[in-house]
Amino acid sequence: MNIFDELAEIYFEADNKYTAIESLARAKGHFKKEAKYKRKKELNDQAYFLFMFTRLEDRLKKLSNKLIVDKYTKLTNWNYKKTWDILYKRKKNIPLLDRVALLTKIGQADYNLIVKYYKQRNKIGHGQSFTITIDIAIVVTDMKRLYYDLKL
Amino acid sequence: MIKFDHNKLKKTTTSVDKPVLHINKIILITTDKEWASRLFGASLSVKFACIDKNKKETKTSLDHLSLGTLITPYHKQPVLELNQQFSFVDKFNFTKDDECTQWKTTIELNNLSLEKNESLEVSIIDSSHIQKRIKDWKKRVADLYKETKKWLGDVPQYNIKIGQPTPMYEELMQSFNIQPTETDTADIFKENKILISFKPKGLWMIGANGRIDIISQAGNYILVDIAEQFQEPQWHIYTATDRRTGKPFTKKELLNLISSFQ
Repeated sequence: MNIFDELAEIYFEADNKYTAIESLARAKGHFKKEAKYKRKKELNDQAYFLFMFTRLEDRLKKLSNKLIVDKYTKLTNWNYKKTWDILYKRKKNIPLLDRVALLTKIGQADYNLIVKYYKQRNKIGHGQSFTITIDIAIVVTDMKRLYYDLKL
Repeated sequence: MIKFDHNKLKKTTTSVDKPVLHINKIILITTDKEWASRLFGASLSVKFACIDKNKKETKTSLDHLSLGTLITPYHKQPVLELNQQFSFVDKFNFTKDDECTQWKTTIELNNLSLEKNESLEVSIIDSSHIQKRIKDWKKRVADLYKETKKWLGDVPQYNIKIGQPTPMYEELMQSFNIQPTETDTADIFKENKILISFKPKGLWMIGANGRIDIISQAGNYILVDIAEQFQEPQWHIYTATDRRTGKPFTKKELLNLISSFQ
């Protein structure tokens, strides 16, 4: 079992448990308790989303670094090499979306998908909430696909 | 929607509100049946300008959007999905926003000469589009509850009641300064006991046109509208853990679902 499936299994255990309590609280008219468990579910979503995104982030960093080192060391024509020389010098400080643009075409489906998730990652990272509907089952599928499909 | 053709490569609009522009996608329309590969090296420039009471531009901001791509004859109607948002970025703050009586937005197509039989459609999301989608979402949710009520009509021990509304304030609403709103929840009762609850989760989601969570003490399900925007809804029901094997949400599915919860 890969890390995404392992995380998904633990996530759904907790999510099902919280949902059952949320539903029971609603049935009994305990609206404060219902809201409390709804909030717990939201935080659970955020935690697992963040954990999964960091796995993808790590993969993107490794792949883009490999690409930069390959180009820096193998290219000989200065017209092509000059951009890679700059990237090589800055390789520790390249923003994530620039790394994504080295691996996927800007504006195309995979790039746009990573941008959408990255925006949500930043919101969560700064203590805010998701600003679009995040469905962990879909996140697991997307993260797994991106993680294994993105190649040099 | 803005349409550029060989005569028109620039579009200007004015607004009282500070503009936010979301370019969704761009479609190249051509009547050519057979055409060769073509390097499509165009760009769009988006300029926002603050107009003061003397009708003068007092501050501007300019952004570029590269549309560079290779279009082959296999692309019958090339569509570039862009999803880029633009807003005024103030560099110097010399002029306060309340000194702007109007805002001017200019979108210009650069580096592309269109033939007579070609045009470029730029699909734009603006504030009124967002308002329309919120209205449509609330209607689809209300219609779903009405339909569910009809389905339960034949089974006298069940009924559906509208519950406490849930807040709605999603990213696009925030970007376009649209006020937060609420969507109705609903509960299905069996003899005054809640069996399941419908809780709208959100409208804007990746790959679908809105989601409603179905929660119960025995498990949770998800309803997803897989139809395109402003089309007749196609609600599909999924288990919480699996998005691959959804089924259309029908009377039979609903009755199966509530009977499994008893």
